[in-house]
Amino acid sequence: MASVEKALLMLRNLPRVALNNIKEFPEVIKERKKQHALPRGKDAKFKLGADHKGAAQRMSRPRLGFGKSTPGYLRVPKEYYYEGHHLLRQYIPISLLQIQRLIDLGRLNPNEPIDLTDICNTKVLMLDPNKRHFGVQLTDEGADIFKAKVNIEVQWILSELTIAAIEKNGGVVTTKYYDRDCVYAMSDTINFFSSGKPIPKNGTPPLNAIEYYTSASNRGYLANPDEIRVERLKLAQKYGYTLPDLEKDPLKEMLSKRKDPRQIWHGLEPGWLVNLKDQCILKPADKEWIDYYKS
Amino acid sequence: MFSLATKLSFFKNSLINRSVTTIVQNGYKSSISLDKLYPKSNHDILAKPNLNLESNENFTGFIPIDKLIITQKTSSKPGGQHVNKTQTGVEIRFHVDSSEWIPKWIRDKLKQIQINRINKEGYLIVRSEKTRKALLNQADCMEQIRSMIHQASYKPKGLSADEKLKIDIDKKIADGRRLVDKRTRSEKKSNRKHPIYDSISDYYN
Repeated sequence: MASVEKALLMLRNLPRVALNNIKEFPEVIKERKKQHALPRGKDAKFKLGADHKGAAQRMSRPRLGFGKSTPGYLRVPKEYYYEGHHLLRQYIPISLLQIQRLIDLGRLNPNEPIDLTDICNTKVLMLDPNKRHFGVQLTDEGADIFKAKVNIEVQWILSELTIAAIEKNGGVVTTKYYDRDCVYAMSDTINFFSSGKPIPKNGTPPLNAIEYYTSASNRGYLANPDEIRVERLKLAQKYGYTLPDLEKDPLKEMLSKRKDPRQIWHGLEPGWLVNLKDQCILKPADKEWIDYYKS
Repeated sequence: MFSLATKLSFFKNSLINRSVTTIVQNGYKSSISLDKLYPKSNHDILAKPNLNLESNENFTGFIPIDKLIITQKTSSKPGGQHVNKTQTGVEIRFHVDSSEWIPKWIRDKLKQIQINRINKEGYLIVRSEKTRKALLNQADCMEQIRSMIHQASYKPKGLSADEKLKIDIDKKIADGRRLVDKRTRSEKKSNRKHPIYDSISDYYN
């Protein structure tokens, strides 16, 4: 092969010319070397920064900042902004607009109660329990557009506008706390069932969350149903809509479905083992286990 | 996935003459189920709360929303295409004379105080374009209406017997002090004039 042909073949296979495979101008290299170069010759005595004899030459100067006044690193106070941040719970936001869109597109079924599992199965959110994601929170974007009648269960709601928007259309909202194990189970259910663990028993919320989940204004799952009824009326009066009368509604049974505080999924009890391969459920037979899971 | 079998049980309470429905969920019950936390409550959230909120003599704060006319309109503020297309402004109006849910004496006062908001046909009109959401603007309108009615239903408390007594006593004290001040002032002025010669002053001088 001629040398020209060889060269052209090489060119064809070499990478594109870019900033990472071009050599710099020699002047620039020289300048940079000059900047970092130690002074030599008659400049060395004055520019190296060390006196003849004394502490500098003997390398016994004190640490940076030490002297007459308090050094900078001691003057400025410490503010522990991120203290305990590794223990905080995170809730991924999902808006009413997103939920309406999912229902319209058929990815969420409004004729069944909507759960954390349902929202995770739509694969719209990247919920990772390893990153202290304890569930989902509802935001009020799309409150004007929301038209669906749903029984929805989330983990946190900040604004009462979301609650008003859902109840205006005849729906029901509850906020429920899920344990870490439960969130692992709910976010990736198939994986959890294949792992062969029994369904966990949901724990009670931590101290800083008990007030939230026992208050009726947040529709907590541990709140008094009498108070929740009054709060529904209060919101309706505040936002100017009549509470729809659901006595003769065919969906009333679905809308009033609520889980037990220790239950994770409707129809499944803690302690049961779901076997997807053999299509069966194994329940504990020992009295100790049954008592444990019902406590 | 797995459906829950719920059981609806109806109870007729003859004492109250009202049928109370309770929803009992067949299935799993732990030690902290709501039955055990609140055994005396009715666990049906969707039932109507049994509160008598009709305003007969005083305004209770309850507004029947089907008696109001609520319209949504486009806002008048700047904002481009979005503000021109979405209807986030809210207007609520109701006919004052025919609103039976406000007691009569409050209605009359409302007409006096809010005369600027009532149009020729007798409709009280309230508008709001405060926020970017129609629901929040509606809440703002409701708040305005409610506060207007509360303002019209203000009855001054009146003075108690002790307060009246105190006012009388204070007035008498103030009168007494005023008269004393007057007397001293007039004496001062009369002392500036030349002395008047009587028989007694002649004797001393």
